[in-house]
Amino acid sequence: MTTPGGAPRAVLFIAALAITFLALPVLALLQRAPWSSLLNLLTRQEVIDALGVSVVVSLVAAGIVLVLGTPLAWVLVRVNMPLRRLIRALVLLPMVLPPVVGGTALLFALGRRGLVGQWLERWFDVTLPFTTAGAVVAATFVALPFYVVTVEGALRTNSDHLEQLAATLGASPISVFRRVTLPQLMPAMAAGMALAWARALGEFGATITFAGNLPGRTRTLPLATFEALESDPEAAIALSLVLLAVSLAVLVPTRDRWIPTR
Amino acid sequence: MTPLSPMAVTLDGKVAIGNFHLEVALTVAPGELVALVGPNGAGKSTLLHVVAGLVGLDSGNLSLGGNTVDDGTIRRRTPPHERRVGWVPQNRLLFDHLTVADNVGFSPRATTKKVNHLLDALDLRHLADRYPMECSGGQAQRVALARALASSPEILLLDEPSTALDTKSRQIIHDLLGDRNSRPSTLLVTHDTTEVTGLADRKVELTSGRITKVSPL
Amino acid sequence: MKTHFNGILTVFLFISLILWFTQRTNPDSTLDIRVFTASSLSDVIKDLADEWTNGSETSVELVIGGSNHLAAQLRDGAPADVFLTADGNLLTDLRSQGLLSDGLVEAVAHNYLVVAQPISGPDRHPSTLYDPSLILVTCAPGVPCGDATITRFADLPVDSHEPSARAVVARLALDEADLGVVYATDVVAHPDLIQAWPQENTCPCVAYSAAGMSPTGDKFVKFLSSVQAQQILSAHGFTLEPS
Repeated sequence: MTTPGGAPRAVLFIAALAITFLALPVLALLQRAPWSSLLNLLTRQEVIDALGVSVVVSLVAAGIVLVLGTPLAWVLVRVNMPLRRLIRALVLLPMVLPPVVGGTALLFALGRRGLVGQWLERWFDVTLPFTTAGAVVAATFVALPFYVVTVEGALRTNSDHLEQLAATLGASPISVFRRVTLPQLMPAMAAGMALAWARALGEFGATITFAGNLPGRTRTLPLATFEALESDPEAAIALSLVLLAVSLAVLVPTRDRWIPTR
Repeated sequence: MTPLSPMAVTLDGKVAIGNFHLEVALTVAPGELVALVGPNGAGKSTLLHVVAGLVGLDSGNLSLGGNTVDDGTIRRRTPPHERRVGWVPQNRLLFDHLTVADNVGFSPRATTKKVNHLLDALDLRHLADRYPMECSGGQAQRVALARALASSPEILLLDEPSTALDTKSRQIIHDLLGDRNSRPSTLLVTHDTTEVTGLADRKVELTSGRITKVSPL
Repeated sequence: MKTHFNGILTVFLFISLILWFTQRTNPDSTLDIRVFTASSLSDVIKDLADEWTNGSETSVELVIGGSNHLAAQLRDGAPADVFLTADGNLLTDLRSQGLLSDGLVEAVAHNYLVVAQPISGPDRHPSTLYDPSLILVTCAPGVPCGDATITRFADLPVDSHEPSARAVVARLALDEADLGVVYATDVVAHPDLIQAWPQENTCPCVAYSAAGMSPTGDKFVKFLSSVQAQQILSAHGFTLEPS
């Protein structure tokens, strides 16, 4: 893997700086942790509630991302449509938009008085703000681009010759998608899911703006951490550690390569 | 008076891909094996793509078995999965996530009986549960051929099937293709003169997108 | 060897540049007075600052935010002359850490809690406060308005704990909530909000104290008790003595 003569020292040095930069906050967190009272803090109802909400919201959001994101990624790569560039920019928008702005925009769209939200309320008696479903919507909104970008990248590198060949053997387009495209895409889909799930788990700004903050219903781990920071810093650290642990537990085994190539 | 059976392939058309222009008029009779020869870049693979339906004609007409599948002027094409073609590209394109047996039986038109027959005919029985990654070049080529034949194509499109193949695999493939009773109409792209003389009924030479010579054999 | 040296030197210069730059963005001016103030005072403090500048020829630098975050910054050593907050516990904590340096601490104003609604909402009755089908938002426990809300109203069917009174106001202003517990001053300041029903000013309420953290700061704290300052506070809806 290394170049002949070993890795260039300047490159190693800067990489070491980068690793330090990333590891430092985590180490500081671990250093400040109230290890002796940790068990006590972690078994508090509010922590368990927040963990429960976070797990449910992030997993449901990840599921929706998978269902919506896969066809979207496929269309972006394989279908030659007008405005493709614009649509692609739209897909990436939640990635660059500040989450609070995203949450506010969601409120204007799906809130009680929102563009579409008002009809949801009037016709179906469905309100999204202040509900767990609303938290799922906010998490899905910010996580979707991460999945699409990962899967789209993999689709770009895998040319469509395999699908063309499957077609010549008589498989219909949907059959080709199911029997050839999807199985080939599995590694990228898994990687994308991990990334999207992690993003959904950590979402704060859009959730608090759109879904609000209520224990047991919409207060996820990030929201609980923010609230705890106000009044109980030790609890805040404990909650941060929970987030850290959950994230590492999922990311470490799955993130071997960013875009798995065949 | 019995009507003449239609040509397996009747092609008379043009296609432009970037700067490359292909302009050919070609027929393949039922059961006939036509060898396509010519220098690299002459358009041989492109011609196969047109017949398979992966590339559309810009003008002209393509019929398979008497049915128009590609009308270049009105840009109406039958999609590949509705044509009965078996395409074996140079790089084989086997499905890595399926076993050899599943590869061969991939086509919706493949029957278990046919799959078994082909696995035996191409000496692939012992590899049935293995994956393409575990196959040698020659074995993979045989799998690709078996897969195409299992779909009961009316026209077989082979793109340099014997290049860089071990002797045994070549022999097995040649034996199969040489059996006039069981092989479909075939367009065979090859650089191998023994293949041409040994298997082909006709030789068509292609240069820079145009047919330069047709010789019966 | 030379390429390695060049590389390391470049990195070194780059880091030095960054450090030098960050130092430069913290000028120390003896003419400015720096006031840390809770966000619910953000409107009135600007008028108070203008009044102070007219009289004293020093300009006021305002740092506005949630009381807890401001206190955290002060604990970490951020320079300030005055801290205006409704959270007495924070002041006690800062004093115990020696940050208030025997400066003046005075109560300057009070703010009442009211139940408000969007101006476009229907007429409501006090009993609707406990109606679970209505969307009710309040401040989160842990911030002064949140703690005061809990003391004043028991077991409210809250749908969201907002990080500040401003956030509650925002929800009501957008008509995304039916009812909210906010400050009396917020209703005065926002045309989109009205009191949900006629309410008296009662405590438990919120009391703001100003803490001087330097001699200049003490002067500002004294100014806040002056007639002019009290008039400004009054005009914004703050009351001087609790009822």
